[in-house]
Amino acid sequence: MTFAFTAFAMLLFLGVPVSFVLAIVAIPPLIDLGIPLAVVPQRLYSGMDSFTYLAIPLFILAGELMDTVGITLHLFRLARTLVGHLRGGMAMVVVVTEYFFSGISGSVVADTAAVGSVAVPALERNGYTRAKAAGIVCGACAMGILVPPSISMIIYGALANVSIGALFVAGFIPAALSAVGIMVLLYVEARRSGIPVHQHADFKEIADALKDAFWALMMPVIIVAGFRAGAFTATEAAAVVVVYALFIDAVIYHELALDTFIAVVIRSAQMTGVVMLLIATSTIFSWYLTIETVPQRLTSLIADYNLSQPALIFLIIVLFLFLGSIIDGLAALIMAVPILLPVFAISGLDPLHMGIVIIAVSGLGVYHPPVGAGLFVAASVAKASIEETTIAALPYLIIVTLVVFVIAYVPGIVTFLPRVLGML
Amino acid sequence: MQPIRSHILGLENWLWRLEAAAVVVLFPSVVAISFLQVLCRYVFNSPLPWTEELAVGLFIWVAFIGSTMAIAARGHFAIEFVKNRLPVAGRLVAEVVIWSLSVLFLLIVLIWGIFFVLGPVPSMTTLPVSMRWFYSAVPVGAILMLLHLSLRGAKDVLEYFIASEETKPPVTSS
Repeated sequence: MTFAFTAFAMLLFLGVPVSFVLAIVAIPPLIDLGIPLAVVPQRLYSGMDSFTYLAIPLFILAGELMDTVGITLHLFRLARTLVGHLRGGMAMVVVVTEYFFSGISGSVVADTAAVGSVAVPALERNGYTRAKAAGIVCGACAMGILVPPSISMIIYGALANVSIGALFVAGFIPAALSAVGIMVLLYVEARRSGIPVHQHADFKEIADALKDAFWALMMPVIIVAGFRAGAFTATEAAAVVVVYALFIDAVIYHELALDTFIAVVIRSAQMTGVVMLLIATSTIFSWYLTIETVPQRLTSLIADYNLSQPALIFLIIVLFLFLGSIIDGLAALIMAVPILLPVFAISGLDPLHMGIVIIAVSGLGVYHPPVGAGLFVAASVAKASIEETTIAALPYLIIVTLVVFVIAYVPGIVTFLPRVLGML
Repeated sequence: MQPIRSHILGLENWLWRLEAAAVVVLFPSVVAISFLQVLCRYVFNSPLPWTEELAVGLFIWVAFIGSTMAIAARGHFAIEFVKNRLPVAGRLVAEVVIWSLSVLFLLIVLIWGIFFVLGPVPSMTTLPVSMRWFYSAVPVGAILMLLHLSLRGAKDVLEYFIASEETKPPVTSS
């Protein structure tokens, strides 16, 4: 057990792809127990063979399409007419845009790049430094992972057998809390540093922007309405969203040429491959964990130390902050959730509530040094240094962290909407 | 050694285009079939029995080929900050270990994957098609990944020799 764990950690830190490590550690015990290695390809196939997982490639494709067809730009313009006249309004626009938009494709890199490339020049014109602008983008994107539809929620829902619709709905309020917190801070900062105020957009401008962004805004409405009616499965909603994105581009936005479409499909296929291979090998890994009785050991460890629920939640948050800072959030999720599920069951933690907490933390981790891929992307989009961007992003990330702790210890904030909508 | 190197690059390129062509056909088909399912179920009220199974089968192909392309593009999630901070010799060792372990794992997937496909395979429940067509994604994916890894390995070794031949300070491989 200790040997296997050491090998596992060593391979990970050496840089072997996580999806390979998850399968490789299970192979010696397989041979040891005389189980034919034929189970490896079998599990790779059966680990993917699910209609629920089909939602993953479809949402990845939908998100990539939205990143590419300029939907971001339309949402950005709409947000500008709505909050642009407030003090620090331009920065708030970034937050509102992210709220509408991010987290769909699950590729933080793509989201940060898409929003950053629109937002940074606009912020710069309004008197923000480039590093500050990148920092604001980081904070906004860290919050955005909680706004449905997010690929993390689909994966968590499938792994933990929690209703994906309920997870989607549960994300709205925590994300809104973070968004409001960040915007208040932006207001205070803008007052202090004398960022200029814009004129209130007149009615016609708002109407125009709304008309422009209307079709893009309908997307989350379709998804949530579909779930609410109990009609769609996550997969069907995803299929509708992809076709919808293609449709509005063909009819209204006309941004997508054939070669960009092909590039989007190839990128999405790669992302699908990365995520699905992880999920498939994690089924081999969880078999291995069961053989090693890791869940039982973990739960008895918790009993031995007499860990209370709040302490346990704290540990889980710290664990995911750590994991998120060294590795992509999705990989952390797929790796750790199978280990934690039995722990949730024993300690009476609600998997829906914990799912939202974990996803929020993994959203933060992406902007967390030393790895924090999102930080690098934001800095490079803004052409600012990593150090400056990190410092600039810190206040916003702290706000999101505070919200994480609030929702972790007040589960009602998370479960309120799903309960009201009758999804629990 | 430069001509060999350009042959390798050519092969890599060719392989990539083959895979790209496959996903460009398969991925939109998955979307179309899934959407067809929604249409038939909710709009025409006469669900087709076979859409779900077929879409999932094709999507698994997309996943394996996408995974292969991610190998070529070095897109798989890995913890790299430790490796990147190692001295040159240490990095070399790390790369060799990563490469060998990946190849070992994929060989297992390939060899037993062939048995998996050739063994007793059921037919699809909704269509008179053997599941073999879908199971094949596993060994085919493994072969493609192995090809990419072999080509990259060969390229890296060549570049190492080219760099040391030129007695200039070693050029770091991309």
